[in-house]
Amino acid sequence: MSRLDNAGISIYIGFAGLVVSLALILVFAIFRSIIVGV
Amino acid sequence: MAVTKRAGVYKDLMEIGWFKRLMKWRGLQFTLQAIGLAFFGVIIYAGLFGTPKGINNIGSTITWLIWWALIPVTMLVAARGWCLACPWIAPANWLQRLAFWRKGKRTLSLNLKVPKFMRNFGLMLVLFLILHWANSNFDLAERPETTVYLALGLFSLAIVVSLVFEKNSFCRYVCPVGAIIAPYSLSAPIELRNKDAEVCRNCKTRDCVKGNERGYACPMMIFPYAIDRNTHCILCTECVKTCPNDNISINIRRPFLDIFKEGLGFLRTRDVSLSLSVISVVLLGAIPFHNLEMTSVYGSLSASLTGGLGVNETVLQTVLFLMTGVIAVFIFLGCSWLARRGGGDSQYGTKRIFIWFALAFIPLAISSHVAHNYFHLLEEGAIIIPNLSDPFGFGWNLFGTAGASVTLLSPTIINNLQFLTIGFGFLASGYAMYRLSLNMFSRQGQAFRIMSPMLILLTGIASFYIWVLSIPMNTRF
Repeated sequence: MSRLDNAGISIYIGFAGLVVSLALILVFAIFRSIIVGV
Repeated sequence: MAVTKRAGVYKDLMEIGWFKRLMKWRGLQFTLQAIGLAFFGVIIYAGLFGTPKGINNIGSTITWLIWWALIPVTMLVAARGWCLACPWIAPANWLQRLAFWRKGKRTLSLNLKVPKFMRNFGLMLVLFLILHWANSNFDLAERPETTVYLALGLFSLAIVVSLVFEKNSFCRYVCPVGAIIAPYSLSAPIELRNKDAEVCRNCKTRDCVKGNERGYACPMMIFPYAIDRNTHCILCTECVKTCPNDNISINIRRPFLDIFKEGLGFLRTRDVSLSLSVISVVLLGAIPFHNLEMTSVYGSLSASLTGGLGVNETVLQTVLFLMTGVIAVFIFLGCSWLARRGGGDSQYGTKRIFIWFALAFIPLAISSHVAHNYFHLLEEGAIIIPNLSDPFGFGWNLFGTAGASVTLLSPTIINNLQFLTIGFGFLASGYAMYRLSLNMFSRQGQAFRIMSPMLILLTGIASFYIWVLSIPMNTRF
């Protein structure tokens, strides 16, 4: 795999990783509030 | 014999036993759609019988703060995976096929072909813009009942289209959400492709296109045996079920791959049409405008213009909204012309450069869309926690969270995360643009010359987004 491919993958992991982890914050908060309350 | 993986493909998920069995299971789509429909039932009940106050009605908050905000996230990760579970098309499919999950033999549809002039993204873009415009102008989030009528309207439209036209013509040529799903899915790290092109070349039956006793012909009217992009594939897995040679793979692949395919074969096909590229460019104007109109800057601009011009707010908003899209297209056209001149090669016309480079801006469009939604999802979206305890505003307290005020992340952190996301979108678009230019010209100097006007435009748009996002937004409720 070339350095150019690695650059693309790094950008994507940063991009999607950030977005998905933020969406998971909301999901986690919802479950937490249901189980242990606010 | 083991098949050599194509460049950019990391793993064929169909090599995993349980995943393959799941994809081949006829009940897969029905189960996912049934879950989607159950959610939809709750939204309808909440909208019709719950409190009319949007902020306290789970129908409004799930639709506009959670679903609408998460849609671009699903595309970034799973291409058009949402379409597999989409409840809108479910009743239409069941009626059309006269079957829930089994392979039926009869159809209730007239099975007409969509007229040639409609076989593009034109109608989808128009309907998406109308939905977007209605959402901004009529505060749909605050009106649970209107949200229900809008959703039921789309259900009915899907049914009518499916009963008149063949297969999933609704998904391919009408669905307003499809207008953003199709271009966004090009960036995804997931793809459905043939496993071995040679096997497909030698296949005499073409069951993926015609259907057989195990499944339906491709409902999106594409040719799964030759599929080379995510644009129309809704991952319904019918071709996985029908292929007699088990020659369909669902790959984890290099992200953004469809945007800068190696070689120009992909980009030269008619299907990557002007209409898909126009969507990307219009989104580049529409998204920051949508963000801007939720700020105080737009409020004061609107007040002075409505007073000065003597027009009402809705007319002004509509004109400005349309102008943003048109201006974005013209600016992009200008940059495409400059790029053609800079490249110094007459083999690529301005229109061709417009179509190609518009695709490279898709990551920036996604990042700005997602960044805008952080506000809805992480600031306003926290309202879902008290809503779950009292979903219809009846005064219940199911989980003890009714009336609670929850803060997930501070506005400053959300704002910084938005800047970071735009930064990633900028890098990703710049990267896609560079690879695209290298595909067009093998010489690096010429590639840089052709992409330089586009790079300046990309920097300008990203800076504009950053400025818009730095202005505090007003809440919807």
